Amino acid sequence: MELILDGIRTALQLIFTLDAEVFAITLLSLKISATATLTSLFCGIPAGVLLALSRFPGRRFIISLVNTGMGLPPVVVGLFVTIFLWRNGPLGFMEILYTPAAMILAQSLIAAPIVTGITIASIQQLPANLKLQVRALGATRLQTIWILVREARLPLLAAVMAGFGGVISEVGASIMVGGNIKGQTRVLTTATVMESSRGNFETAIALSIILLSLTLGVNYLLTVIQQRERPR
Amino acid sequence: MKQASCLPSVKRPTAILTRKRGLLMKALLHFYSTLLLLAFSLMTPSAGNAASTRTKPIILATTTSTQDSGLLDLPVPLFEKERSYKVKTIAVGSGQAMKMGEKGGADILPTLDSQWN
Repeated sequence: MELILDGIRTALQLIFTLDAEVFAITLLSLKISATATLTSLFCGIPAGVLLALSRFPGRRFIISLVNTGMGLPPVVVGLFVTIFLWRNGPLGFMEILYTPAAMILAQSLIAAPIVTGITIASIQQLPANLKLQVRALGATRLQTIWILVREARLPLLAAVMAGFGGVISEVGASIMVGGNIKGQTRVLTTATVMESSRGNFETAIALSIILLSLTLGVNYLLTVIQQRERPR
Repeated sequence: MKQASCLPSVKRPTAILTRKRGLLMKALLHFYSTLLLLAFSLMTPSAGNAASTRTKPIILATTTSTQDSGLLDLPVPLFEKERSYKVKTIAVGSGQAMKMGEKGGADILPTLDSQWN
């Protein structure tokens, strides 16, 4: 219990003295995870819409793959991305292993199935007649998709939150792909692991508190947007 | 109190143990730094030849305890400054460090592995 109180004290100290290193680590976490979430939205939403609206053989199998991917263990992603990005690996020519770019890549792979899965669910829960009605009013295929996505925008915000929450909190991929290099690829989660393994539990607790507040802040913002207009 | 000042070395029985461990650590650090210097000096000729690779970072794979000891904080920045290379220090398990070296994924391996011969 004392340890936790010490941790809270350390956290407040680090926050209010604007500790340069902690500030940089927090900013990097936010930058990497936000970029990864955006990337996964760009891939996941179109893929989800496509899977929700089209009918083709093997579609159910692909959707079950996506649903499995929603629980993809970050370490597994980290392991494969690391092997692919090794200098003599298939993607070694990119030379991005142990850089924030590699972490963004890994985190995007973690978030993409989450976003895709929730997109499929949120498009499919729209009333089936809506699509028919829109088509009957003379909308083109693209216009139909656009209207359906706009109708599903509130549950889609949940996809953003789930994706962001998944990647900012993961540590397995970040530590394997990023290497936890001070000043380059050290983020809140990897720093927490390192500090705990060094026995600096106060600092570890402080970093956890900062991480939780950051996630809370982002989710609060998104929730405000989501709840501003209640679905009819 | 008087007694304590008379026999400072037996104040606590653990003091001797700590000193012994300190010596061991020192010996280990010496061993590590020799290895490290050797590794850096081996790096040097290739640094002279390949000017084009100068922008590529060097990957140094080591164990967490080596990094935590702070041993690398002195030679690595010195090397970076003198050779205008960027060194990326990755702290992993010794087995992983060795494997990385084997696969060409790391350039310097200040690490120990009992399995390696």
